[in-house]
Amino acid sequence: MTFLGWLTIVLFCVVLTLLAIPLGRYMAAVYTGQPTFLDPVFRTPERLFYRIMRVDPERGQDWKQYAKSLIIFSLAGWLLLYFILRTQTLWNWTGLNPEGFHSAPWNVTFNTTSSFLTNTNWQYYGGETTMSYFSQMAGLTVQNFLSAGVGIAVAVALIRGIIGRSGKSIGNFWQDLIRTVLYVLMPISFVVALILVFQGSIQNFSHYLNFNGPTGLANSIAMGPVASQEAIKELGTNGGGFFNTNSAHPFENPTGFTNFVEMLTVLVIPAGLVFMYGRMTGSRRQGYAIFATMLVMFFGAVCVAYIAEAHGSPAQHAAGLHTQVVAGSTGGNMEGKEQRFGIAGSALFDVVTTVTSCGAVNSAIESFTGIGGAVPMANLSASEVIFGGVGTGLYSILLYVLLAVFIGGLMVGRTPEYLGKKIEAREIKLVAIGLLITPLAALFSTALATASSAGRASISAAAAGGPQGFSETFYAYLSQANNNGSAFAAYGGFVQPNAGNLGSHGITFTDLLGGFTMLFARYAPILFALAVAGSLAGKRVSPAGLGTMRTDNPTFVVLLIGVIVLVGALTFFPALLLGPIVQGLTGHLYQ
Amino acid sequence: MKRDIITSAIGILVLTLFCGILYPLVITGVSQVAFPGNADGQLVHVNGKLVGSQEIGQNFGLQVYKNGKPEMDNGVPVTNPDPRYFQTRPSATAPPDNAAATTFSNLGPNSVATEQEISSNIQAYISLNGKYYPGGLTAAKVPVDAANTSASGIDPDISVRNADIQAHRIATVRHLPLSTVMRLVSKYTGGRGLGFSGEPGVNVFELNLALDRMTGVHA
Amino acid sequence: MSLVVASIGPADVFGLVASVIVCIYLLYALLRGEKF
Repeated sequence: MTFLGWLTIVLFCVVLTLLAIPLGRYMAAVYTGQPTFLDPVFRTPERLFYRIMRVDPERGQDWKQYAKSLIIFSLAGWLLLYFILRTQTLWNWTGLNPEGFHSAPWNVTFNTTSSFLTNTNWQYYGGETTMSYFSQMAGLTVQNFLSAGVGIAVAVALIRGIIGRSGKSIGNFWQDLIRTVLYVLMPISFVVALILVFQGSIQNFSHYLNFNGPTGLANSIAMGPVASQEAIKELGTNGGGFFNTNSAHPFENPTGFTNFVEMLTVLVIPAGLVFMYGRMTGSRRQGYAIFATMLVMFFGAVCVAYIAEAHGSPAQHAAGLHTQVVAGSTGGNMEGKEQRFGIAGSALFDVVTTVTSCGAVNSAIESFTGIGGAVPMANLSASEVIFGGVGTGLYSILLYVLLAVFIGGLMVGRTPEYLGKKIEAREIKLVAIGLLITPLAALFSTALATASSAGRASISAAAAGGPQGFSETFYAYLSQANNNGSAFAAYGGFVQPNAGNLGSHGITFTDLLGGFTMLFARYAPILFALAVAGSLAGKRVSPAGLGTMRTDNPTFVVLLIGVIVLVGALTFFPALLLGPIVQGLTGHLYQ
Repeated sequence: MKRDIITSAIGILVLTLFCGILYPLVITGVSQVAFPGNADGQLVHVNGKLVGSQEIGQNFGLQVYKNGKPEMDNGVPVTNPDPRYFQTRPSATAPPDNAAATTFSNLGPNSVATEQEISSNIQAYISLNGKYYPGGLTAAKVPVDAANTSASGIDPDISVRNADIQAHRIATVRHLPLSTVMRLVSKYTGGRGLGFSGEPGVNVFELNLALDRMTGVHA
Repeated sequence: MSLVVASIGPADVFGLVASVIVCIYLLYALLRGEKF
C-alpha cells in the first residue's frame, strides 16, 4: 500500500462528490421541466422525436400505463438487437464488418441480447473476435443508451410517486426516456469519448492490422470505433467492453488519467441522482443522508479490497515472490492487473464497478485474492444500492429506505411514515417482494447451476477442484441477477475455436439460465418499484409531528446501513462462506 | 396497447439511428480531425513499414526452429525471448501479446495451476537475466509484474524495477554502457495520471525501437 | 426441462423442491398479511 494509492482513493471520493452535486441540480431541472442550459441545443430534436414517435409528452401515465410502455419498448429493443446480432454478415455492405465475422450461435446471442437489454452487459463472447463494428454500434451501443434511459426513468417515476400529492400520474415514460438520452447521456458521453481519444483510445472503422514486429514475428491489432462506445459503457453503468479484456485493454483505457476519468464516469450519474432526489423531494438532507450511507459503505469496500490485493496471494507466496512495495515495483497481487493502473487503481476500479451495475473491469476479478474477490461479491450481495446502477441504485435504495422506515417504526411503536406519507401494509408487501426478487433469483440460479452437471460444465478446468469453482458459478449468477455483468471470467458459455464465429457453439444450459435470470431480475423489480410508486402517488401528506421518526439524520443512516447489511448478510453469508471466505482463510492451494 | 406498439417500433428505429449510427459517426469524424494519430492507434512505422502501436505490448521474441521448420504449439508459433530486447510481461493471449484476441489468464489466487505458472515465469526471467545481474537473481528478487500475467495480455508497460534488472542484460548484449541504457529507460518511463493516478510504467515497445535506432542493430 | 432434472442428483432435487415450496409458503403468508 502506498501513500499515493490512498490519496487516489480519497481524491476519487472528493471529486465524485464535487461533480455529482451540480449534476444532481441539472438533472432535477431536466425531470421537472425547468429550463436548462442545454435547451437551445436539444429542444428541437426533442420535439422532433415526440412528433416522429407519435408521443404526447404532456399525457401523464399511471403506474400500469408507465409499466406497459416500458415493457413493450423493451421487447422491441430485444427483438431488434437479436435480429442485428444474428444477421451480422447481412450488413457487410455498410463496410462496418471489415473482418467478415459471421453471427454467433442462437444461445449465446439470446444471452447477449438479454444481457445488453437489461443493462447487464454480461459477455460470454470477446468483442474483437465476435462482433462486427455494425453490431457494436447499432446494436450494443444503442442498448447501452436505452437500458440506462429505462433505469433512470423508473427512478424518476418512483420519486414522483413518493412526492406526488395529486392524481395517480407518475410521469410519461416516453418523455423521461427521450429527455434522459438527449439531455443527460448524450452530452456527457460526447465529452468523455473525446477525452478518451485525446489520451489514446481509438476511434476508426479500419480493418484489423496485420504486420511483422521488429523481431520478425507476425502480429495483429484489432481496431474499431471504441471511444464512443467506451464512454456510454461507463456512463450508463453498462460495462460491456469493445474488446474481451474490457477496460484493461490499452485502447479502451490507455492511461492512469483515463482510468480515473472512467471510474468517475461510472459513478457520476448514480451519485448525481441521489442529490437530484434531495432536490426533488424538497429536502436536501434526505439526499445527503442517502449519499452518506452509500459513501460510507463504498469507502469501506475499497479499503478492504486495496489492503487485500496489496498483501498478495497464496499462490504468489508459494512460488517465492516477495509482494511488498519496493522501489520501482508496486508489489501486491499483480496477476491479471495492468502495470499502468497498479494495485490501487485496479482495486478501486473493481470496487467502483461492482457497487453499481456496471461490471466493466480493468483487472481480472477471478485473479483477485480470496478476500479481494469477496469484496465485489459482497458489493453484489448488497443488491447494488451503494450508488448502484443508473436509476436502479436509487430505486433500490429507496425500497430499502421504506423498509428501514418500517422497521424503525416497529421499534419505536409508531405508524411508519416517510416524507409525510403513511407506509401501509400494501407498500411493505410490495417492498419486501421487490427487494427479495434479485437475491432469490441469484441463489436459485446458482443452486441449479451447481447441482446440475449441465451447469457444472461451464466451470473452468483449473477451478473445478475447489472453492474457486463454486465462486465462479455463484459470481456468475449473482452478477447476472444484479445486472452487473462482471465475471470470474473463466466461467464459460461460449466455445469459439476461431475468430469470426465459424465452428463455434454456445453452452445452452448456461446461456439460457443466465439470460432468463437477467431478464427476470431486471423487469420484476422494475414492476414492483413502479407499483410502489403507484401506491404512494396521490397519498395524503400529513405534516411531520413531534413523534415522527426522522429519516435525514445520522441515526437513520446507521439504521439504513444496518438494514442493507443485515438483509444481504442473512441472504448470502452461507454462499459466501463456501467460496471466497474459505479461500481467504486458508493458504492451501487447490488442484 | 396499440399506441405503445407503434411508438416502440418507431422509437427503437429512430433511437438506433441516433445513438447507434449518428453518434459514433460524429465522434469518429471529430476524433479523426482533432486527434488523428490517437484515433488510429498511435501506430509506428519504420522504413515505411508498420511495426506496431505505442500503446500495445509486443512479443520481442525469436521464432524457434525445429529441423529447419518453425516450431508450432497448436498453431501458435513457439518463440524464445530475444536477449537483445527488453521483454514485456507474461501474457495469456495466443500467441503472446496478440492484440486481436485479448484474454485474461483467469488464474485464481489459491490454485496449484497459478503457482506453477508463476514459478515457470520466475524461472524464465531468472534464466534470461540472472547471469547479467550483479549478485544473481532469486525468486524473492523478481519483481511481481515480471512473474504475473497482465490483465489485457498486451500490457505495453513493465515496472521500473523490472526494466532496471533487464537493463543489465541489454547493456552487456548490445555492448552499451549501463548508464546509457538506464537513461533510455528513464526517457520512456511514463508518469502517473495527474501525478497520482496509477503507476509509472516503462514502455517496452518505444524503448526497444529507441535501442535499435541508437545501436543501428535491427533483428 | 427433463434434461435439466435428469442431470441433477436426487438429493439436490429434493433440496431445490423443498426450498421452492418454503419460499412459496412465505410469499403466501406475506400476502395474506394480518389475517394469519
